[in-house]
Amino acid sequence: MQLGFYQDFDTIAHRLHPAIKTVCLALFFVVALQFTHPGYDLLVLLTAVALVGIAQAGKGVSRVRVFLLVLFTFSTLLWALLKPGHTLWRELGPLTVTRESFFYGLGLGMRLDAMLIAGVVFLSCTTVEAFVAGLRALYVPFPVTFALGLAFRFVPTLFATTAKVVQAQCSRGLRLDQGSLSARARRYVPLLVPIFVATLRNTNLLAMALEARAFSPGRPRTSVQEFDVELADWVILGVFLFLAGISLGLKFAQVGQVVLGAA
Amino acid sequence: MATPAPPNEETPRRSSAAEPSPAPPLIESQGLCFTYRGSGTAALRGLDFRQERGEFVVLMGASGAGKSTFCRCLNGLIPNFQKGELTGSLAVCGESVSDRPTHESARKVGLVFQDFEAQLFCSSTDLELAFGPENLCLPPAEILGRVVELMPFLGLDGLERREPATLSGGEKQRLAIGAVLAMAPQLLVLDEPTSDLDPEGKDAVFAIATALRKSGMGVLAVEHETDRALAADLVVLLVNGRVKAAGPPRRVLVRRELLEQSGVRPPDLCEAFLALGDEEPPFTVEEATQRLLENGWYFDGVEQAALVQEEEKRRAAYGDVLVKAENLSHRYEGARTAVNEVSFEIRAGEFVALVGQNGCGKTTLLNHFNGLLAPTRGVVRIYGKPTTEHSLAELGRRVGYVFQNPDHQIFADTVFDEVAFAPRNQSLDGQQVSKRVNEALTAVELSGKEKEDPFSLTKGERQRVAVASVLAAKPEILLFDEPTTGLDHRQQRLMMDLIRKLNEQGHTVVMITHSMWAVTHYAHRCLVMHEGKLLADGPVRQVFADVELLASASLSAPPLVRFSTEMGVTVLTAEELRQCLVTREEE
Repeated sequence: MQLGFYQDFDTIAHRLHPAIKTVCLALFFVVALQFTHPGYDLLVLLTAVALVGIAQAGKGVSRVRVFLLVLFTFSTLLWALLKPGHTLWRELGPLTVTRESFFYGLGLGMRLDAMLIAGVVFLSCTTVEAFVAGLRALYVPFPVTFALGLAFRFVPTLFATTAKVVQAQCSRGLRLDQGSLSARARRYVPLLVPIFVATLRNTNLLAMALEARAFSPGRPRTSVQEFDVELADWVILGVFLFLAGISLGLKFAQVGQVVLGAA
Repeated sequence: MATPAPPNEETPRRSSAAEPSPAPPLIESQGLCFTYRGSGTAALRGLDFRQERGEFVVLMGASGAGKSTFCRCLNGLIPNFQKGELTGSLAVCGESVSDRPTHESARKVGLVFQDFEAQLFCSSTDLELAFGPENLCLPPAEILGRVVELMPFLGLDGLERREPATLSGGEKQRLAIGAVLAMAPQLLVLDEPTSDLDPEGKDAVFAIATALRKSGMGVLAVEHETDRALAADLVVLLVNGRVKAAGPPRRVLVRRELLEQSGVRPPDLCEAFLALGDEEPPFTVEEATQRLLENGWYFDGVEQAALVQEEEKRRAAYGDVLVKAENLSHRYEGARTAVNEVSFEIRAGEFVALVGQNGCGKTTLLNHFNGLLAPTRGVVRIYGKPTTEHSLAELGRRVGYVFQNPDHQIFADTVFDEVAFAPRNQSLDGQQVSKRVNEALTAVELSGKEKEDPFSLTKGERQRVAVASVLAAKPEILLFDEPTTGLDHRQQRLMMDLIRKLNEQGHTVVMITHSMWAVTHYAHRCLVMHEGKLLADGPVRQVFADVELLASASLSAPPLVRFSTEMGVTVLTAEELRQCLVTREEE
């Protein structure tokens, strides 16, 4: 079973320097967060979809498709009902939906999906090792990058352990969906204790395995993955900086915004 | 060249042991003692051991004998990482280990753990191999050269850049071995490397160990299976933290009493021939054939027919169909089909073994029996009703599932509460719960341990607590996933005897196992899976007589079964061999 998102292709996205990729991802988030109008958010979403094509990350995005749909639907519905607006559009019993609130919800749904897709694209074309190397190139302190790298490596193990424990306890009749709130909370104890114990054991073994392979935090080490910043990296970074600059300028000029207010 | 230091009992030495050795031995320990911090009992109690360069040594012994502790001392994980009191001396390549940090000892000693999942942490196979040499600050070009060289040696060519999580169990363990070999250590230490592997995976690991020995690297492996220890130069038996005996495998493994005392299963062919009075018992199928001819013994076909007849009688006595799979298929989302068009029936009272390679779909198939998985095609009926129409609670009452690792379910403070979990989930009153718990603990022979903390028990006992906690729900069908993994021979036998007893008491048993010994000694029927398909289904004797079929599923029968099959009569145990073999005395 494939636990991570990484897909081994030879695309320009894969070849980019991981530090540049990390900065570009952050810049993409900056762009996505500047607009509230669905028309502009649609452009951001389409850009994310284009990135999926460039990085051949369709498989990874497909794995989160249900989550993308849920995120989009709930954001649209929730904010359409909760945000105030000027132009009454629909009345659903005691609830009202304004044109502005609906647009805001629609835009937010697309924005969140675009950011999630961009994140999956990043993970699909960047190994954990490259991500850690990228952070180090960005002068993130070693203890932080090391802990992050280990956490990324450990998440799949934690998921696998959790799945096994849930199966074992459900086989013995554990039901998490019955009873009062406090009863349900108590029922998590048979899950949490074995997961905690197994995680402690796995962490211990992982630490021993790292030591046994001559790893020692803070000591110098070489890397077979050597990343050089090339012309393509600077060009891509320039494009993302340009997009971020444009979007900040548009935000400053109040372009691409849904004007909300009391209905 | 192995020259074990004087053990507490007899220590046979090989003839060339007396030759002077110019270089210091690979491993030399004298009076090594270690007590884990917080433990009142010493794990090592004056261990004297010596291994020469280029030697392959197999370390055997019961759980708690000190095997893993010794392995961890060799690269300094003890006492640097696992703290405690260490006395005595231990040197690798003539240099003391205990006063060096582990990452420095790792240059000389490569240690591979039993749990291959937990020691692979890179995102691709080649990065996994490169991780150790990177820590040794080797130039990238040299590291890549080592990676390219190692992949075919490990049988992993074509799997470059693959995510380790997508490999089979055998491939993962070979990758874990490669990850330390890439650091070019002088000593490779394998701590129970084959426990979770299928027979083919085990063979591959031992083939690597043998090839390394030939190349001059020292290999020290902890292993429970005596048949595999034959490949070693030296077998060392540990008992209570001391060397009980050491010597060439053929001299140590013929000593039945010594092996029993050490919690080690004697090689089945050797044991069977010893019981028949052969003073030079064979270890391999070829040797057994030779000894049979030399002794003038022959097989009695009538006796075997009687065994088959008995089995037929047993089959006729089975009850109604309890489990029925019809064209069952299961495909995980985005992955290959794990179970493909499988059909079979299981009747009340059967004892079925489900065997096959790692990743062939055994666990996926079993997970359908209690509703943990729903078929993506086809149907599984329990008591005639599709599992999809049963409630999970209803299935849980009828089908009990004992998972491979008891630690994935134990959570309570006392054994009583742990076992009472399932009956309490069935909303039974206190009296009924107590009755169920007592019955279950009696069945697994843990009465009297109700108030003990389950986490403080041995692995074998924790496995029994897991069985009791399933029995307390009173299921008719019992599923076991690898019930003997991680247990020593004595614990394995206790566990399998318990499962047999439960079967004799009326429980229908379905067991996944890689232990061919457990199948031939305990199961009635065998389902062989290969790449998601059911390759064979029949009585154990019939399935294990088909050598080609087993080979096509990457399995092989134990040597005793292979030997008898070659002789035209398939016997499954030493007892059956005695029954079917006509010796001169009997004539």
